[in-house]
Amino acid sequence: MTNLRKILQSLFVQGPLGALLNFVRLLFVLLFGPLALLAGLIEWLCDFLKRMNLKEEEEDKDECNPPSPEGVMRRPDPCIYSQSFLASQGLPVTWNNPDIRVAKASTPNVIEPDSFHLEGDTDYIVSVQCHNASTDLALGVKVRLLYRPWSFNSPDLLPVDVNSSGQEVVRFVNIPGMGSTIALFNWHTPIPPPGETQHFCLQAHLSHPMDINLENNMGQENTNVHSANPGHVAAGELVEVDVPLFNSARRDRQFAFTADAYAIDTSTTLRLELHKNTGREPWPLSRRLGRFIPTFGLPEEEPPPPPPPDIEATSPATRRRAQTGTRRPHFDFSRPRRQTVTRARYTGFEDYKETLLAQDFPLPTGMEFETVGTGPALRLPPAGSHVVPVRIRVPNDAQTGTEYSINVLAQDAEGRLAGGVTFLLRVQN
Amino acid sequence: MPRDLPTFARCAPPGVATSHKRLDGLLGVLVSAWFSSKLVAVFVSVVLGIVIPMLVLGPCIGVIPAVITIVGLLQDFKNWYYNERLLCVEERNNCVVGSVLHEPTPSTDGDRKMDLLLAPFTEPECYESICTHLNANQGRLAAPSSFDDPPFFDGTVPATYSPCNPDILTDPNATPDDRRAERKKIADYLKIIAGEDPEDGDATSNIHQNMLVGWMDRLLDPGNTNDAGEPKNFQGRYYRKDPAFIDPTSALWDAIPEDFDPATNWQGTDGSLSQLEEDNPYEIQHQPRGVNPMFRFDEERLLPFLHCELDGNYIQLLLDELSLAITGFGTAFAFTCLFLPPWLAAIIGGLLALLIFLLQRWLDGGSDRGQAEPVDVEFDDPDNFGEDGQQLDGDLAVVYGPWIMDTEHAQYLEIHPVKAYYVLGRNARSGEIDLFDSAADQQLSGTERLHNGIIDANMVQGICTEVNRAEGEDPPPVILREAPTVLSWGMTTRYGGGGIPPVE
Repeated sequence: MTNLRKILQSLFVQGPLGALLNFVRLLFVLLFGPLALLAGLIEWLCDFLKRMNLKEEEEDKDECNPPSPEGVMRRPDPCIYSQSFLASQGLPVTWNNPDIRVAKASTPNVIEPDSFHLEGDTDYIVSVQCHNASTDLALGVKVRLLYRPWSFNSPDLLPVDVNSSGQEVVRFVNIPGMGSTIALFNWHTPIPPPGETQHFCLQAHLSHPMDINLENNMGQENTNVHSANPGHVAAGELVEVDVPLFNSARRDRQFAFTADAYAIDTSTTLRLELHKNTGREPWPLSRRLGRFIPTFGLPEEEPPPPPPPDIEATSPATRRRAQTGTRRPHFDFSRPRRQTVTRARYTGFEDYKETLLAQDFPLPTGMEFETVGTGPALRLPPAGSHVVPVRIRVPNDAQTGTEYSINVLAQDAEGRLAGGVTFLLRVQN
Repeated sequence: MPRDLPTFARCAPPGVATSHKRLDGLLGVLVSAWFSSKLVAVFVSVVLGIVIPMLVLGPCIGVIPAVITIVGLLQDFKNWYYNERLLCVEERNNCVVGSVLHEPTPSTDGDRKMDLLLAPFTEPECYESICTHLNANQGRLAAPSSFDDPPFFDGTVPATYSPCNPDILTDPNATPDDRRAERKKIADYLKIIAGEDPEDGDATSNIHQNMLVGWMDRLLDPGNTNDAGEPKNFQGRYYRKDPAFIDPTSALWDAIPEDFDPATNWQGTDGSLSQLEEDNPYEIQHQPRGVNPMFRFDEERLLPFLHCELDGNYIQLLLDELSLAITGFGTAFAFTCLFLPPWLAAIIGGLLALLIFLLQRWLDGGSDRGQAEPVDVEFDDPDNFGEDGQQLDGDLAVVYGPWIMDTEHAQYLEIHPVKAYYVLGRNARSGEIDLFDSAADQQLSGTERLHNGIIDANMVQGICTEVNRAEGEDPPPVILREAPTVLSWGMTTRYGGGGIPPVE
């Protein structure tokens, strides 16, 4: 009986209705189709006269595996405080990285105030805060943590954390859109000779196959490991540190050294607004005319209700079962829409950036800085290196408890950052 | 976040979802007739739909009911194809993690197909378990009674099973050629015992189905654990219907063919043959049938996979173009037939229909119409970084979309349509044991990466919780962030993936 009803429905309802709507559509086709065709012909002629070539332009795409529709792909931007990327924009930088923190393994909840006063032969936990500057979720971001000998830019890198087989430990983290998450590494600090201090530069690398900005993925943090904590300075003391510099380029380079007292501002909160970028399918006149011809479409899909966030943890008994009901067959007599694609990002830090660019961060009054024997610029041959004697004199009137964060930058003749170090000087008279 | 992604196919509940073999209505009558006798079906359709109306009503008026019938049939077909072909297992979006088995390929209906080897299974593990399973059923595979299964076999053993080496992929002394040869040996054997049904290209023999079900039982066995002792079956519901997720007393359970028989000792020696038989609700021939695996199988690489599809609407556009052309033919014929001989009216109507079809096809986008491909758009802000994202062979990916069962192709579970694709890693299928020809290939492929083998239940839960949250909400119009965070972004942001709701 149901079958008979369906047959009758096909013959006496859907068929006639479909034919009638097609007939109306046919009238539109006869009216606008020739116009669209004419417009298309003119467009083709114009295009031909412009190119003077009957062949279609070859498109540079893989026909077997074309890119995926924009609406399906997700593109994260994993990132970390990256001195090189910030400096390339002319911004001041520090190697006291806000995203790399150190705590003793015995007291993992007590973050060291800075990484400049670490103890040798001690287990530490290094937290690497990984950010995502995209509105899309970042899944499976690979985080590596390496260290290199004290230098402006040593090419040698060693893993901070190795497993029992001696292999580097890497972490994979998920980072929410515009959010951050933390990757933890174990670091057993080396044993410095008695009475000496060793300097290391921690370097965190983030990577993801779909990263939309590869420039903000590497951040560095200077550390000092002391044979006996604390390391501190006194008022008027001349801090003497030798910092190796390497020329990894294949040509001679000149390096100049500057120092500033830039430290990251932690008091400013920025208001960022979502900015959408909509792409529209370009429709020539022929397509616009064709748009007046209505189409049969299936009804718009109603979006399913969002699942609970912890859906995977939800017990089977409480899981929602399959929906009942289906879309009834009916006809939509609507004009085709131009297809659009919309991407999004947050903006609103441009003013803050301008402020930073306009600011100077001079050394504190009474502090002196010098790189002994380098002159205004140090020339290095390809693959050459030089130990730069850095001298910083603490102001004579420095009070106990005062802390100075002094950044020393090595820049090449074009003003590009070659490397740098940050000295955290804690005064104790 | 909710995306502005056009989707076309919707799944239907049990009782509504059906295969083309079980259609009702006028279309169903024709399909049934087709399966009975193709010649009779064509003859009856032409006589009832075209000849009789024209004889009864005269050629000029008789074309109208013929056009109405054909248009009605096309609409019926379109409705079935987009609204009733897929069974909802869970209409809400599901999140699955696995590695892509090949570059996604376009389908004839405009969809784009991709296949996922679900985590945490790896290529070597799948090979090892199927080899072990076949070796354990050597006696069964040598018994003529296992092949008494018309129309596939008539009780004759089609090929002698030669035991395989389950450890060859992990044997450091084996050469790549040895490994490939051993795998090919099993692949060729399985193709032989799959048999052939001349009337159903998707069907395979009962013994073949049982071997696959038994193999899956080994893979999903709770005793099959990772290094931490945790079972690997945490995504098993996408390979085999699971009473923990689908109520066994529900209509949904009954609507999915039986793919397991608890009374069978699947992993016992020569045990992988169930006596269970029942009618398959989507088939019409050779009923009742034995157990029906609900996963798909890569017969060359011996891997189970979850089929996933991005939605296109080529069929929808084609059917509408045909409807329009047929209506055009009918209109032209009925009108010109009043003044001209019917044969001339038919020629004029046919030419007009062809022109209308070609015109509408061109307006719909020509040969590229209805494909699940990126739209060529011009952005308001040209400062738009990033190449178009590609899905690649070996991607470790999260696929997000409704969980359905395809009632066609011998039925299988599927994610359709895919609404989001997250890449977790590249070259991530095989894990630590790769089928590389040389150390250089291994080097190129990279190391220290996420791969299928190291994904565990906790990771999937964490990933899917994040994905469900991200896909379920829009980014807020305003956020507050402290200066250090903005510095960590590099004082710049770039546009993420496309498809979020457009600017109003």
